[in-house]
Amino acid sequence: MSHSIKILREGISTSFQDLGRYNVQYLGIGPSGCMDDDNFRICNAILHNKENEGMIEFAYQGPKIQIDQESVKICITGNVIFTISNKDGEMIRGQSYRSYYLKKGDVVDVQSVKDSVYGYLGFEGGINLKQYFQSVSVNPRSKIGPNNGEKIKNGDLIILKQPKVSEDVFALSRLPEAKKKSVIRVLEGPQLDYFSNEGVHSFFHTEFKITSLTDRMGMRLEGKKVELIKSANIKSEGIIRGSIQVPADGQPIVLLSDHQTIGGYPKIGVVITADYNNLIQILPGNLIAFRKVNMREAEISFQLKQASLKAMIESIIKIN
Amino acid sequence: MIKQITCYGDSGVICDFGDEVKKEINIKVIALFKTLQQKIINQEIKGIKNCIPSYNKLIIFFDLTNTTSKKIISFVESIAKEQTNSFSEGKQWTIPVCYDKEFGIDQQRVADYTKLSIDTILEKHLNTIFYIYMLGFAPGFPYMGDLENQLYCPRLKTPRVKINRGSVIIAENFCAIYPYDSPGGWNILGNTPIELFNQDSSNPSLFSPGDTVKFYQISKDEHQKFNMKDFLNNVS
Repeated sequence: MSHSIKILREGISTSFQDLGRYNVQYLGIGPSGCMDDDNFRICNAILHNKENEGMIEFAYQGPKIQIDQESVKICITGNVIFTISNKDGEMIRGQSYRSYYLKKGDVVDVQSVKDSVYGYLGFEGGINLKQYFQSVSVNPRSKIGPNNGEKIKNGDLIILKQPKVSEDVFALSRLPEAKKKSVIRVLEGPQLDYFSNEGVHSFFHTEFKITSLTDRMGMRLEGKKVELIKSANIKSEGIIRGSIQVPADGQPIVLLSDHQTIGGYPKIGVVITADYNNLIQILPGNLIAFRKVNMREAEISFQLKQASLKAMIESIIKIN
Repeated sequence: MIKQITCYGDSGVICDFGDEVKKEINIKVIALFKTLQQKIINQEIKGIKNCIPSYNKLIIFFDLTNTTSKKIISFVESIAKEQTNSFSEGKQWTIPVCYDKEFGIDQQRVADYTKLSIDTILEKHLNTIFYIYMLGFAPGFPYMGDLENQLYCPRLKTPRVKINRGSVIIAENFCAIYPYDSPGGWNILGNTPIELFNQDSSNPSLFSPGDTVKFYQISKDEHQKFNMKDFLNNVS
């Protein structure tokens, strides 16, 4: 195949994602989609792609890829360390938040994600992927999505929609804040009455450690036991992203993009939409705290976040 | 009807129909779900990304870019008023099950717990018309009720690492079928050769919430020779 991208090293939790799969959760199909939709959107904007164009998401360590077509334009977003080398062995250190014009034989090595978890690798024009329920997001647990519902593996070939591209490259001139806030804002959950007053109080006033059992499905926390007063089971009901459920052991779990469609644990809180991207980028081992806010603050924070994203996207300029 | 509508985070709404797990309540949840799905298709409301019916609740997830919880709640209140008696019957399925000992590895456990003979248990299972309260856990996984109280048997204390695809399982008052190989702690009564979910099919999930299921017994030989295409042709 002469029009492709070859995966020389798969990296960690490397998968195709877009903005997610909707209106099928009633069939037991979860939403999935990119974990950090700001970095996802910025990547597509720099490449002048459609905002929902599928790309590669990776965690901790990204893939190493070889360009096997005439030319391609890539962009990497997130706090990512990577190099680009050509056939002659010349190597440069790459920068996030700008596009690169690459030719056949070039190799991109996404070595690591720095002080955060997720990064994105997009291609101008997008990847040629079959949509399932109007989305190319992959959920490996349910085997839903293109690539047989699997993560990207060593030796895979990725076919792009455009076999060659123009040489113009672009960059974000206003960069996102790299520092992650450790206080996450939360709205009260629907089953607050399942917890003792002390349990609720300690949930909002102590710190929790993010454990290494965290993945795209859920963030498992460790801290002072959140005390339940009723049974730790509710009648199973629909789940939405960012819900914080507490099983009988009193250790909260934040449900993330690959969450199950329904669940039976009581939920003490729900992360506000404005803080979701910040939360999922905090590395396991770090401490976080939850602060209770009201709906007004949640909605205003979302509008502010959207305005800041818009300003970043408007700051994209041509750099060659 | 809806007992109360409350917010679920800044991007969700819960329509609560009461505490009980009862078919009569779930029918109302599914009626509202179907009405809402239609309104979304007709673009009478924008911003809704998912409607998720369960036993006694309908949860609506929306995109904060396009709407707010206030708008969603007032829309749901308005349609809840207009749809007082609308109720669309779900599909009625007859599904083959093989109770051969090779498949039904927990028949004896259920017999010991319920103090009924295996024959009686299987007869009662075959005579039940199951109602699908919801799909979840895995794509196409049906939560079906209600099993007679006499057949009440708790889940296994330690879940099995692997339960085979097609396993017909019971626990407490419920019955389900595993669409794939999966870990699980329910009691396995038998196995169905039916394909419950196929993401490549135009109709990926065989069942929808609100459908009913009645099992009929097949032999191990019929189980082996079962053809899904023939089954679907006979249904339509």
